[in-house]
Amino acid sequence: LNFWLQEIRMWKRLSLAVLAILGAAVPLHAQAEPDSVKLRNDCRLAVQVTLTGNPAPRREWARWAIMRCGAEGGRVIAQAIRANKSSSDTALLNRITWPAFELRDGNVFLAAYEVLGDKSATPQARVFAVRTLLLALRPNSYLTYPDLADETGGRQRTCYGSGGSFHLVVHPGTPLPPDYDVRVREIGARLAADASEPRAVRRAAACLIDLRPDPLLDGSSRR
Amino acid sequence: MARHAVAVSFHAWFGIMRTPSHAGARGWKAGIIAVLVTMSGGCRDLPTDSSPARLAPPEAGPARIVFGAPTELEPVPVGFSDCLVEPCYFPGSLLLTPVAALPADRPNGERVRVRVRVEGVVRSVCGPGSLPYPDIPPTGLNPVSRDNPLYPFFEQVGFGNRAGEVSVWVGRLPSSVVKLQMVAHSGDVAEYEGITRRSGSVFVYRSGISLPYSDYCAFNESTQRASVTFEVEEQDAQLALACGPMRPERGDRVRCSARSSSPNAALSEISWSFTDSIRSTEVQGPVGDSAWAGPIVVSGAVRVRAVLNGQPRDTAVVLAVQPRQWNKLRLDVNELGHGDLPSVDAVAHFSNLAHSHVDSLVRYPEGKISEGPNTGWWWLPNELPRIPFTVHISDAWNRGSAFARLQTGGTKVDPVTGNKLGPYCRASDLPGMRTAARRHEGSLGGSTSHASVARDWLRKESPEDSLEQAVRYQDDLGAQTFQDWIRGVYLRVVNDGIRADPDQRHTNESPAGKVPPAEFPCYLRPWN
Repeated sequence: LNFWLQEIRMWKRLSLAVLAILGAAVPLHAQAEPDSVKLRNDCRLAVQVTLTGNPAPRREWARWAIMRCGAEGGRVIAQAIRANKSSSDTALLNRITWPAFELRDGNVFLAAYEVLGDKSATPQARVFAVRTLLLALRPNSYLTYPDLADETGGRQRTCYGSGGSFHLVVHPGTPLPPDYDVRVREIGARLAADASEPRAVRRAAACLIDLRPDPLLDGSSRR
Repeated sequence: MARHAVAVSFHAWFGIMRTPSHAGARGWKAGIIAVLVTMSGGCRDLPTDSSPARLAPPEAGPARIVFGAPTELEPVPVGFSDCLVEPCYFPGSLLLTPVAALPADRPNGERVRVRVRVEGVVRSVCGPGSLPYPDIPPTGLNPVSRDNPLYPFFEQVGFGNRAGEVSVWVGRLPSSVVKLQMVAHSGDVAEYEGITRRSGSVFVYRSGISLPYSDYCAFNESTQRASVTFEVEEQDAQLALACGPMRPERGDRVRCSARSSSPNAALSEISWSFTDSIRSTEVQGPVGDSAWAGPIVVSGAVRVRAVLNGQPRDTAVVLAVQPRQWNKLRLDVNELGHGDLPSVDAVAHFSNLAHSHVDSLVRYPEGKISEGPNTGWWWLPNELPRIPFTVHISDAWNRGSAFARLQTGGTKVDPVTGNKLGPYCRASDLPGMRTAARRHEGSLGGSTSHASVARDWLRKESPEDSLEQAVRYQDDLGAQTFQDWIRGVYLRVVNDGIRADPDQRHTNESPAGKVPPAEFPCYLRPWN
């Protein structure tokens, strides 16, 4: 049996996500015939867990589930990014910015862009803002704080993580600014060259300088 | 078309007056060829086609010239006497061969300037140019060719209807005689390039004969006088720059040295610079050294400046870096467990159950040039290792996982139509489906997996060629390290290249060489 086309149609109809997975993914979520009520409930719970960390057993589930909450999820995440710009809790910052792994949302992008350029924000918040911006161009890139902050001398870091799989999964929220990639490169170059910035911010920002959008985000690369 | 002949002959006097010279002095030696041309014959029924013509090779052989005394050239028959030799281009032409004989024993090896002044012609193929004298063959007559440094590679000096002058620099004259071979003509220069190479003779045409054939014929029975003057001028000592190898393979060590062409004139205030071909920026090098050496990874011009006999001089040579021949990049496929896949309780679609990606390298080879013209340039001194290609297979497939426990069989029903769509999976179906997923990604081999298609792309596209030439100047790195920068290059060249390959798209159409979707025998129940 081959259910892919049928499932993709259903997936699109539900507007839950754009699957840039080259046509092969079986959207099991769609297979479950999720209703909007269930989705809303899931998103409500996912938002709660993401913001509060509770209930703890649902954290792992929530960090993936919230990616599918679209613009509403993006709005909440953007608020959280701004609200936590003074935090140095990397676990918290990781949790609230992680959804950008698959969720491409304009509000999330703008919030991260603001925090990154805000010298009053903590270096940790700004490094995670770098990751959020980077994921807007390179979704599905698995990146950690040490990868970007490059704080440990001699450690080999990566700017781009795993580089994204062939099964690229992207959930759209609100649209990104049309010049989002240019903005990312510009702020990256500016901060990386600014000696007054914290080293972690500069090293993370350096990863944005040459960044180009994932070619699979191009419609021509998607099936 | 009737055949008519044009007979062309000429008488020429070739005289060279030698004047005493000594090192550092400037002297002139001049030879004047006075050519009396007599043309006879006629051209009737000539074509009026004025399309470009091909010049027939002259049949005249070289004349003998003895340097040091006035020499009379015997008239040399001209080979193109037939108007029907397409396209009858030569009425009013002179054929002079050979055109020059230069003295051999130049004191102290100074360069000699040979100036050829052609009067009464419209154009010359010869042109001004500086010839690197270390490349001059040491002896013998020099046939003109692309390989011969006497070849006047700066071709075409347009004189219009005026007299013109061309200069060719010749250095380190051999102990015998050098024959400088030139071509002057009235037509399209490009058309005569071949003649320059083949014959090495001089053609001098009467001014203004660039018109249709009928006009040429107007010269029949006429007499044309033209003259060619050769002047030999001793030059002051020159600043000579030699680099080797001139076409190094990337990473080869190149040595450049500067010296005076005369042992009686010493260099002072030597300074070096390098202008690269990428940034077009001149970077200053050492001061006071007569040589500059180091590995070369980027092409560009090495320039040396110095004072010679109180005069500032400078000269430059271009180094053209040749790429290294790197082996094809290869994949190193590894299946590394669950990896960065979503947690088992968050599985929502196939992508959450298995995926693969091209990883960045842990560390890239790097080198920074610390001496010579390419000081400050970063490069990849070695080939890249195998490309890590990672397959992740979700723990959800495991027997007893929460996901597996969801697979309890049954029939999937369309919620709208009520039609039966097919069976739901049972836990016992999962091992086979997991195998299909692994095959789809490439960790089990096969010819249509993501890994195998990536291999095909690497074989086809040769991204190693781009990586081989990846170089970066230190000032351009800014806040990046070379590792940061080369990671970005790798991402674009290798990672994005592989992933953007249309053959990686899952397709059931023409699956050969492409990645087909993994096919499962049943519907999987999602966690939610």
